[in-house]
Amino acid sequence: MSVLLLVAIALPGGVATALLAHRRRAAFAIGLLAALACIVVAASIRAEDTVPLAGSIIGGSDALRTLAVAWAFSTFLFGLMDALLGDGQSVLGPSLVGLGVGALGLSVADAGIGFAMLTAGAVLAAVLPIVMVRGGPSAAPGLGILSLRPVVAAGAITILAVAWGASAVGPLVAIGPLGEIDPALETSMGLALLAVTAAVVIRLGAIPAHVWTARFTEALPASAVPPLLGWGAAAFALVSLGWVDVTITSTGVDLGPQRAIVVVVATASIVLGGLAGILRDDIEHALAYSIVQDAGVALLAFASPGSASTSAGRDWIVAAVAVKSGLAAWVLVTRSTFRTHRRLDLGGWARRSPLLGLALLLVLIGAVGLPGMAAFDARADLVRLALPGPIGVLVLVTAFAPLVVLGRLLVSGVDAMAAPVREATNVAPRLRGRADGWADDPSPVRLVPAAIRANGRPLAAAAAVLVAFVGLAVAVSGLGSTVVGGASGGDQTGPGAAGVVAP
Amino acid sequence: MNPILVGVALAVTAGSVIAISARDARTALVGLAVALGVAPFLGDPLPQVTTMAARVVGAALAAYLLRAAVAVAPPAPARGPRPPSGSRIGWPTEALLSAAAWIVAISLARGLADLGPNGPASDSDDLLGYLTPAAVVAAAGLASIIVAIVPAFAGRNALGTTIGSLILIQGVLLFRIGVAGPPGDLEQLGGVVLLLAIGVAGAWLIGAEGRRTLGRPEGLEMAATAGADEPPHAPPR
Repeated sequence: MSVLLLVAIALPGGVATALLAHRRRAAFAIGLLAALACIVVAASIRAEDTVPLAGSIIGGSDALRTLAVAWAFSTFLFGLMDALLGDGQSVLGPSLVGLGVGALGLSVADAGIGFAMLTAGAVLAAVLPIVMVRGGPSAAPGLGILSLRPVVAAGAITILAVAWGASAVGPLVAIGPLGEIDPALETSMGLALLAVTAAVVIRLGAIPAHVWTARFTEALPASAVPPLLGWGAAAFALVSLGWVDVTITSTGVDLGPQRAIVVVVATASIVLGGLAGILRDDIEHALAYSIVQDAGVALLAFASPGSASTSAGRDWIVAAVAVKSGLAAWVLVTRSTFRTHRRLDLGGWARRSPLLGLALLLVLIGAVGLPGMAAFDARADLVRLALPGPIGVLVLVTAFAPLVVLGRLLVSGVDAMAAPVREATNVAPRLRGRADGWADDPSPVRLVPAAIRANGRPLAAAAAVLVAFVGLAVAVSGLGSTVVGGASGGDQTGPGAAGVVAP
Repeated sequence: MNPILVGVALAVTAGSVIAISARDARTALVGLAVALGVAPFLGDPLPQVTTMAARVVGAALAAYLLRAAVAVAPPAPARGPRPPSGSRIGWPTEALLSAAAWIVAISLARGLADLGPNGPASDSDDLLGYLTPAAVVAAAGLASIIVAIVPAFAGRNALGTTIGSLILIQGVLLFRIGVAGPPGDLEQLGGVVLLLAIGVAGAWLIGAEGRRTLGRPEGLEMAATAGADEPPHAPPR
């Protein structure tokens, strides 16, 4: 019931927020209240919460609770940051809708429902924020179309794959009573694995489908990134992973050549994504290519069969998204505060804003990780299982590119102050003063809003610290390696229908 | 063979071809409305009345959103390049492509039926026997997919891309019914949500494109309300 309640709050809240986007205060008030309520309801999700709905079963789980709470918390904090920074009212609405349909898609056992719901949320998250595009209205339609196409393509491919899986020639039906597998079925299973992996590559923006990811990230405020390329993409990858696990991996078919292709694509994303992040100088591309690199590591979960790989993949996908949400929050507040996005122009930023320095430090710890952290172990496991031997060690070393990318940003933060940083205003908290007249009227009714207005950027930096902290917490704990999806709740796709974090 | 079902499937295909190939926006939207509005009746057995009603309403709403966005969008400038709309290869070629997709899908459905739990079909020489409910649904779906792929992924404007995306997803959902049987009610509602989301996004994109045509620097608004602040003497369409 709690999942349905979450959906019942998030969907109308998101639609109302989107429709009221031209009335900023009303939009933020409704959206933030809805996001806050979603956090509370998400925290109440229990594994025993199962509700039959329209022929399927909506069910909660501990893993879904972890994911939903982090997702809702991130949505709330990004909405809060946008409100404090005076921008981004077009992001909160689709973010809430994405949260609602994402929770619904993850709580059912039938992957077909999950893919349709998640694609719907992604379509809105890809297109509605284009009103905030940098470069003016002339750039908006092109960016919207560029972002819409991969989302629709990924959704179409996965729905077709689910149809194949449930058809008379799919493994759910065609495997003989003794488990014998026809060679033709083995071939089609390999093609299905490649198709779903291709959809994940497109949706997550891994190489070679990374162009739209980079364009989207550089053209829009960073708060638009997590709903589309973060949480929404993670949910899509989780549903895909669950479907592959149940439909293909569980049959025990080898599929070595097909998995080798996946390994090549994943390795390219890890290596080239890391290199691109190092070579680019601006913070938006640091975010974009770190997402590309994370997508490469996530793809390794599709490259090696077995429950160990699937569990590690789940942990990595959620942890990576949570951490990169922290990085997106840092990018959003840093760019808004210092009005620049080039690393060379950001010298001394951490000295001007220690809160932002703390946020990036937390992101760095989460992205690089320490032994014992779920994200660190999951990444090592994924690389080891897919790429045993010295090549795997090399790829694993490359996967630590965030140490360089984020590390040098931190170093520049304590460097000599660049002109944009020195000239930035309203960076430090104002506890006293006459900013915006907030000391003129001692009445709390006027004092508090005036104080919030005067301290918008420091408060946004504090919110960024919270997002980074949530990311670090998820990176430490992960989803829990005991999570096993695939419980069949759908009656139309036969036994073994894919689930993700379903009951 | 169920002649009504075949007629409905042909109507879906015809609507898809018109939506994709028409050069006039209003004609394309009529085709889209036909394709989306008739598709819920394509199935054997039909879904529950409530589910079918939701699909019809969702389809109508998606088409209406686009119509509203097109209605308030400013006309293209009198001078300067006007982006061409409609299919580059023309409706006869699109119709032939659809016919080819029908043949492929019917053959595919026949093969799937032979592999099914009921075994090979009994009368393999009866051509009309090939037109099983699953076959015509799969045929309508595959035809929609084939004609919509190019506009969805290589469309030259927001309207073409949106119509292509809607027809493509509708085709995918129909093909899924044809090859794997009717989905559950929640999955059908998921399809409705997806079509609606594309409709909303498309309306938004059309509004943004219209604002670009006007060259207004102050930003964009939602397409459905984009015309509210237009001067009364706006250029006639």
